[in-house]
Amino acid sequence: MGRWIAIGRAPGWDDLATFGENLKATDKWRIDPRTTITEVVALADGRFIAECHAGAQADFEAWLQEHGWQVESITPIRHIARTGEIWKIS
Amino acid sequence: MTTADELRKKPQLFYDDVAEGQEMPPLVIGPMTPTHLFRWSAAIENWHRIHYDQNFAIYHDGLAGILAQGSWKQSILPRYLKDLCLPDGWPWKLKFQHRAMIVPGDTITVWARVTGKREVDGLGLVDLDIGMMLQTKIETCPGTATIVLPIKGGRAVPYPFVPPQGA
Repeated sequence: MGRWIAIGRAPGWDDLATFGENLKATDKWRIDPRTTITEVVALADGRFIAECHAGAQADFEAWLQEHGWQVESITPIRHIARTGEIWKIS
Repeated sequence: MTTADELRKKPQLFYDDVAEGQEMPPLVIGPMTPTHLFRWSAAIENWHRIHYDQNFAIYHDGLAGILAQGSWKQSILPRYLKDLCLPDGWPWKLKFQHRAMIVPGDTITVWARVTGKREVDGLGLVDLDIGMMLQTKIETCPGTATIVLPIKGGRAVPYPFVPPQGA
């Protein structure tokens, strides 16, 4: 299993209601038992960051494509600091 | 949600009333929230971090989120069978497997289907397929059960329950 960050643009997701429609329900972020969109961040410059935990990068790419993302980059995560806790990812 | 008082007054389901292939009334729980999970962890003093620490669950164990406890699932299926049998039947046997994870946001439908019925020693034994289905139609806890229902005009199901001879 791996973990990736995608940066890109997601048309319409600047609107919070649309953002919620695409991400709130469990089946929107828990794609299948092996693929989870763990976080999506909307930046003020119009871009988005999405984090995915999945068996293969292709699983994440399929989700991004399905949602019409214009992807700038997809990169594996090495480690994370979150509110003072450090997690080694790969 | 069904109240305890409603359960006490629940009409008895009789052996005569069920048929092979019959679907039992489902029990729907959820959407699950972190509060549900934390309440169960506190009640049974299960402090494994995968049940209440989302960062640990996601970044250490690589899970989709904090997980509903197996022991919670083990409490729900007997509760469902007990409610089916009330007030005078008995949920006798249950076995099931843990096949999939339940995380906050999931909605669970507990279900049962009659697979067979037989009279033994004056008691009505009903065999069931049972499970706990997610909203995605993933079956998290497939299993089987046997409940004992009174037969109309027959003898009472003993309490405390005494298994019938030869069953």
